[in-house]
Amino acid sequence: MIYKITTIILFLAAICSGQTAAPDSFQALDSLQRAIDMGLSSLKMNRGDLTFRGDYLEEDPYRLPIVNAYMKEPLKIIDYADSTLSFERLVDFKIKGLLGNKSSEVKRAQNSKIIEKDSRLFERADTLLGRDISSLLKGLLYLARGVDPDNWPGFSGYSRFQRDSLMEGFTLLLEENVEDEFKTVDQLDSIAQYEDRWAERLVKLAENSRGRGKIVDEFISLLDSSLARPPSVPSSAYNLTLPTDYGDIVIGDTSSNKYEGDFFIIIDPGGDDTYDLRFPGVGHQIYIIDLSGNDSYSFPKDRISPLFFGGSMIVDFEGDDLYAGGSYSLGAGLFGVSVLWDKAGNDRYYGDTFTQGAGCFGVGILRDDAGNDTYQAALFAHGFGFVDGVGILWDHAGNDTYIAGGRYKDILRYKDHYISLSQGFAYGIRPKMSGGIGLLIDKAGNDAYISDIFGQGSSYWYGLGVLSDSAGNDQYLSFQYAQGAATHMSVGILFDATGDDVYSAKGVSQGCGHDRAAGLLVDLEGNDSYNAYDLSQAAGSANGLGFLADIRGADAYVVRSDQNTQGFGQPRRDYGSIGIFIDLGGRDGYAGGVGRDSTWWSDSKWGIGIDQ
Amino acid sequence: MKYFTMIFLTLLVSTAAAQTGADSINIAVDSLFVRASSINVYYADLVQPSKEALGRMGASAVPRLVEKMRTQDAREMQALEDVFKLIGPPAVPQLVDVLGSENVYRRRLAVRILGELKDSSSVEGLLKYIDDDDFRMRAGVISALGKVGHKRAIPKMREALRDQDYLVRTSAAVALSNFKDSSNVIPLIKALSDKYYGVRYSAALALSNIGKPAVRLIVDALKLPGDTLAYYQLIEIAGNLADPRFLEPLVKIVNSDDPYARAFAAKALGKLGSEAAMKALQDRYEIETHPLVISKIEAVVLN
Repeated sequence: MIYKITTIILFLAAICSGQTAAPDSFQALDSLQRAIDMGLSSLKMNRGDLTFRGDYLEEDPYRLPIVNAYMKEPLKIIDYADSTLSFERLVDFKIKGLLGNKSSEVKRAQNSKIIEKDSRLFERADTLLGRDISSLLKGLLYLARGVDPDNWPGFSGYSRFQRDSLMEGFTLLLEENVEDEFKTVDQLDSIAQYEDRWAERLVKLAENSRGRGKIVDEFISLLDSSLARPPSVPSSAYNLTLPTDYGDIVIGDTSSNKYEGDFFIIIDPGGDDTYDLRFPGVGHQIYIIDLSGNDSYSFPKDRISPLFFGGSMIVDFEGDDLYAGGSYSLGAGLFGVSVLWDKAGNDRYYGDTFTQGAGCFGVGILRDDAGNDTYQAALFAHGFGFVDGVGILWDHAGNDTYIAGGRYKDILRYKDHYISLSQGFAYGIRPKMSGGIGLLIDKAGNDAYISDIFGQGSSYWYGLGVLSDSAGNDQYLSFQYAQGAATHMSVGILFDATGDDVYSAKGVSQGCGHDRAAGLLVDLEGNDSYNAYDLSQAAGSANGLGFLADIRGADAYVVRSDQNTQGFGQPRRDYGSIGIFIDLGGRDGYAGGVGRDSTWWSDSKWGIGIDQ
Repeated sequence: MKYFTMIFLTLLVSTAAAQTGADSINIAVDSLFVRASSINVYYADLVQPSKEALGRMGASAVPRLVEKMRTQDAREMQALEDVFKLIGPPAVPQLVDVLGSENVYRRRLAVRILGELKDSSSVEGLLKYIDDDDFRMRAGVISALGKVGHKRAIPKMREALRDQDYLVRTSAAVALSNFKDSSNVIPLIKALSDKYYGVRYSAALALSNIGKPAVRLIVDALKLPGDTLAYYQLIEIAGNLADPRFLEPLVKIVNSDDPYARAFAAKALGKLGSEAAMKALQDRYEIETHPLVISKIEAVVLN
């Protein structure tokens, strides 16, 4: 009897504890929702007022529905940013859905001759290759057929000239020139006009390429099946070469190999290998599966990327690897899909433009599962989404360093700063083509994020930029338009779940929305430090929404200006810009601004600060 | 640098003036406009002098500038607005013509610039487009008419407070804030219950600007507010109007259960500034616990 009662008590206790022990982020976000409602009442508003619309100008064909949805209800982006931290598999991102229903659907050309040809390819080699490799190669070849632009229904209407125009046009829109700072005002105007004319043409021309990134599902399917664990490579397959119409399939061996030139598929079972890849023409596809060793990868430096219209997949299972990508590589989907998955080791990633998780009319994914990694790039990198594209950088563990900028001067604003447009950043061509989705997700470790102008969970022109960091004592350093800054009709969020974090920026940062845009910075736990000069820490500008929420911890807030920070809003163009600043716990310190611990303030009519 | 800039711009304009024919003027306008709309930090010194040089060209520059209104570039649009403001009334007839353009960017930019020029000769032209199908155009026309400040447009503005699009309604409320017309009071009080904060805030501002003629109706509305958010706006308006007739209702509100209403009433009592108002605030401060209300009362005391 006693045993039964004890069992019942324990059972009930377990149920009760299960009911009360909700995840921390859930509780924190729940209390945030209540605080938001209090803040809105203080502004004589309700949630329905915090809305932006998709038709301030005529909607272009490339607007992603999810961007419009978060524009309409910008606070919902907080839940999305939080949810990304619980993702375990690539499929959890539901990337195909992010690209929207308006995009054309993926349809494979069912060509029986090709299917027969592919099956014959491995007939003689099947016994040498073994089951794993044979199956993997068949999967990769199937993938290649799907990526192949000639099998892509949308491309069938393009002439050679039109394809060349797409390549030239989008390269022109993505590339910067270090010489620009030395050009005359007339030369710069001429370049701007030239680019504008290109953009005008591309709006129409690119329409058939919408949804190109949806073939990412086939990449993910293969990664989750054949590449979930290292494939077994029998020694009988070592040094085997199979020619295909996409190039050579090469199986290496366990020594340190050097792969130089043009390949289609490389499977290397071991050794410290060097990949020096060079491809002729465009539309190339490259698939590399490297099972172990400290490897070195380098990619072509051509102005027009050989992977334009193409696809790539690198899966590196072990080792401290070096990736020297230049531009348009290392998980850069440009009218195609590119996935780079490094499963272990302390890795170094170097690139220039459009790299390390970048998508444009396609999807680019860089996933790194373990190790203390370094990511360095100049521009459009580290989870960057351009038109009709999704770019994801997903790092699961380790103390990582992300550096973006330092190469191309921001000649529009400063003589001594560099544009970054990276690290969970989305960008569109204003006002002709809406931006994409840029996601930088880091699940653990004490990380350092460094950018300069535009970066770190920020966005521009109908794009959606998200930087979510789950754990660790992180440092965020940038200069302007960063750390949850959205500009010109877009949504950007920097979400940090735990850790004692440090945020430093000059301005238009740390939860700042400028020009009908919503910029959010949300930090759930930890003793955090926020430093800014002006127009930051929940600052609304030009009808934007600036939002900063810190739920727990003893935090420090330092600003230089008390005129446009810490819950700042102002009237502009007939109505207001909104600033909402919320700190819900801990003894906090304030210097330079209007905030004070355990106080509410609303010095500007359109802004509110709450410290509880 | 500035010295050489001035010499260059003066030479450019005088060369164009010395020549005859539209081509030479167009060349000068083009060159100056490139500089006036430059967004490059290295050429920031050229921007204002170039705008002023274009302004000095006056009516002769207008046809070429109107051609440039096809632009979709935000900074070029801003440069055009700045230059047309310098040129002033001579630009109005051609800008009114652009309102009928098929190019949506041109006509929206024209309406924006006409609003900034605030010239009454544009009223007739603007009124033609007040019911335009494009909500952006309707909002722009109403906003421009408000800035021009012509009474003839008031009935249309009141009508626009009921437009299906909230941006048009917002523009209407803002436009009405330029007129001290007591016949606007009731529609503006209704607008305080609008779904969109831009309309509510702007209607509150318009009611505050009307002044004394609005007091009696605001006092009545405070007794029976349409909804909570309208109620909050009415309290703020009471403070802005700073009429002694609001003392009694505001004292009641500052001691009510709703902390937000108390906070807004505290601020409003501070604006009333009378001895009785300050006494009510002081009494409330002794027992108040809500941080927002405390901060509002303290702000009154500090000021």
